[in-house]
Amino acid sequence: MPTIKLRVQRFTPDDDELPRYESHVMDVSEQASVLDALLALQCTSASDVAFRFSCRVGMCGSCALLVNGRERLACSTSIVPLGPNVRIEPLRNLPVIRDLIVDLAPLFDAYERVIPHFVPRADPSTGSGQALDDLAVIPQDSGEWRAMDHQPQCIDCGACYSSCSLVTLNHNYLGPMALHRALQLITDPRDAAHDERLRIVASEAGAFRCHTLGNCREVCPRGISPTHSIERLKRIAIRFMMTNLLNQKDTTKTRGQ
Amino acid sequence: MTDHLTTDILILGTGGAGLMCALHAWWRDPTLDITLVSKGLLGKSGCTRMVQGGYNVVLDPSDSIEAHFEDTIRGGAFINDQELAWTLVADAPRIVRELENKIGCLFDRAPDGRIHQKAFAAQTFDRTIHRGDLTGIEIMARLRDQILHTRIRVFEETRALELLTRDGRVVGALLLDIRRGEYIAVKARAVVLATGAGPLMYRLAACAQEKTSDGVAMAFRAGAHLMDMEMVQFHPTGLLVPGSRLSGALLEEGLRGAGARLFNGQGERYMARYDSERLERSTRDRVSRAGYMEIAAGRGTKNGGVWLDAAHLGAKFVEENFAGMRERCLRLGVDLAREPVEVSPTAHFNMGGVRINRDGFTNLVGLFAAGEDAAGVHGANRLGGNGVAESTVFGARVGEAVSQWVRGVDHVDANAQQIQEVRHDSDHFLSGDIVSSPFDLRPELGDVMWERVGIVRDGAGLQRAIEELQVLQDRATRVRVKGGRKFNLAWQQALDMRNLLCASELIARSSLLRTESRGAHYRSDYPHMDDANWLKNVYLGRDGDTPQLWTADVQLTRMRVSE
Repeated sequence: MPTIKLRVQRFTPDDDELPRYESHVMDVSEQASVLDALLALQCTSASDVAFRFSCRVGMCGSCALLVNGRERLACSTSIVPLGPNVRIEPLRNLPVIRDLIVDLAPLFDAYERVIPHFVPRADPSTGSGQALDDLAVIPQDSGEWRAMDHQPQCIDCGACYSSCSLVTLNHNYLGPMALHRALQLITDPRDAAHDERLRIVASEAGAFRCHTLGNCREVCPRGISPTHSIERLKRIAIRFMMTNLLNQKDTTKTRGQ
Repeated sequence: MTDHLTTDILILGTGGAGLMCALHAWWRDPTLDITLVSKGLLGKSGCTRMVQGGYNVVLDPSDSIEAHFEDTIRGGAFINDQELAWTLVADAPRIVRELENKIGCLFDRAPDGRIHQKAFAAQTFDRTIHRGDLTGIEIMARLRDQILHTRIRVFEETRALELLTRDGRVVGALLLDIRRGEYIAVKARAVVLATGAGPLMYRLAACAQEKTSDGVAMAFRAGAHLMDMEMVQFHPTGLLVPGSRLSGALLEEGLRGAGARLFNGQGERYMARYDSERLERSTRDRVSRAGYMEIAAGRGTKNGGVWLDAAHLGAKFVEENFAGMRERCLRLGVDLAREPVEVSPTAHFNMGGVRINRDGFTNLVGLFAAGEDAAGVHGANRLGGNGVAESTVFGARVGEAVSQWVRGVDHVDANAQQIQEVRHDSDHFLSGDIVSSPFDLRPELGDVMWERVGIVRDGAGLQRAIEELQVLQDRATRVRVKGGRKFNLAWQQALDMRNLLCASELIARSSLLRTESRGAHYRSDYPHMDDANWLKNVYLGRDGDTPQLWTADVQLTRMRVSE
């Protein structure tokens, strides 16, 4: 069995002044993930090390952390190819709760600002109920289908948020995950909050903050390119603003006459 | 320190059932104070998030509710509560429309733009809707988005320790904030159990790690009536990865639906000997048992598994339709699209749980249950694709029912002494020298359950398991952990063990009582289904500290047993 030297960041705010690193040498199986190594650690030399996971199959996005400085899902990352020295730290841009566990509140605060929930076209609770009866038919050769975002599903793990230099520089920036969600909804023909969401995306904290560095694209464990989503958003937002401007001009003209 | 909170509806669990319950209660009456408690993170914990293949629903005009019902009852070997099963299939089409049109899920489309329905095992119609092969992400993320849009209170990384009762009524729950390690005593008009049960007491299990039977164990201790606890589903195709927690994680049913084949270690397509007609597309109980028996007979792979082979379906087909499953295997160096993958049956789902009616009422006033914590919908075996349907359908129903029910009831103060006792029982793991670690006990429990209360059972083994479980229960109380109160995973593990051991004993005792084989329950000393004596459900209640068991006839209200 391969031997790994694990350096794990330990930190309990309130109790500890500064984070520290603990080193543990351990044998792992060839197919072990980073999560397997942490679980082994928990059963042996560090029973109180704190880390997060739930599904352990890359679907829940609870276990994102830094492995040798790079954002990864602990459950889906084989540890042996990254060894023998492996450094494990919590995500960046988010406050630590304990050891490898971060508070995702800033990530979800940003997310909530883009109106991430689907807004039905007709409110089924007050309307005729029409919206509830028919399932949208979106043929794959239609313009609607082609305009929609067809990237893999986001698991909101926070890897992109952690990797984004613009988030580090400006905590007000919406960040890759929120903007990617905005794109999904803006290109979803079933959603009714298109304009409202585009105004947020086009605002100071929105898509135009992105410098296209591409960190998020590199670290996304699902293979999403938020960079690509944001570029699309910029184009849609510019078109939207131009159209609004032209409409405004038209209105002014009409008024002048 | 104990914080105190008063709320109208306390929902324990944030999977599909918990979130649907919360949303329906909120939509019906936004003046209600609703509190959601998640053992993990909102939208990320539990098994709805892990749903792969999909959701069974009748959408196609050439399919019918009756056909879905019949498949569900036959799959459940006729001990389902037929009214609950009917509710499932009858409500599912409405709930799926709600998921798409109100909540914003987008399921995969066929080229013509209509929702695509694929084949799952043991169904007479291809009625499983999906989002690729990782459907749960879509459902849970969109439900979470809607929750964020309400003023529903959410406690994340907070667990329920015990239901608080007074004079036979459930009046709230004592919670533990895992991050701070502090208690929260919640007074509620109604408590909804939606913790997702989960057979994590087995050596190999598919579930998310939070699902340590907390709901079932708390309900039992509070005096709720449980049913069908012997019915534990084993999924036929869990990954086998030596030395990794990934072991037990599923490769989805749609693979077999699409025609993937199972081979033993000698290269024989063994399902022909167990179900010559349906082969790999037989029900989960049969396919799992077949795999288990092949392995037990020494015809397994070198790691003690069997082979799942999808390569003959064509690499392109597998790559396109099972991208998530393929990726899961690729990390292990195996390409599902091109070569067989080593799998084993894995503990997956509790058909048993708290006895409910169609609106989630239990025998205890003030206690409701939905999803995997509840029993009856699936009988002796659940069909793939009916699990997430159950969570969302019954979560929604309970939300509707409970939001109306709470209007007519007042809060009742909890018994301060009970709170004191629960706190004491939980705190004692933190004090004293470490004699035994909770992490050591878990594999021992896994072995007992796998070997004696697993896929093949017999009376002597079950009897022995009950004794072994009692020894483990005793050892579990002597566990001590270090590391303080804050986000202490070892402490959480110790608390999990208590519930896992409680549920394990209930499973073993129910299994001992059912002297026949039916669905997921197979007794080698009673290998045949015995309709003359066992068209019954096994019930469990509490008599003092000991489980009390009884049986009652299944009510065949809609469909009679036929050949």
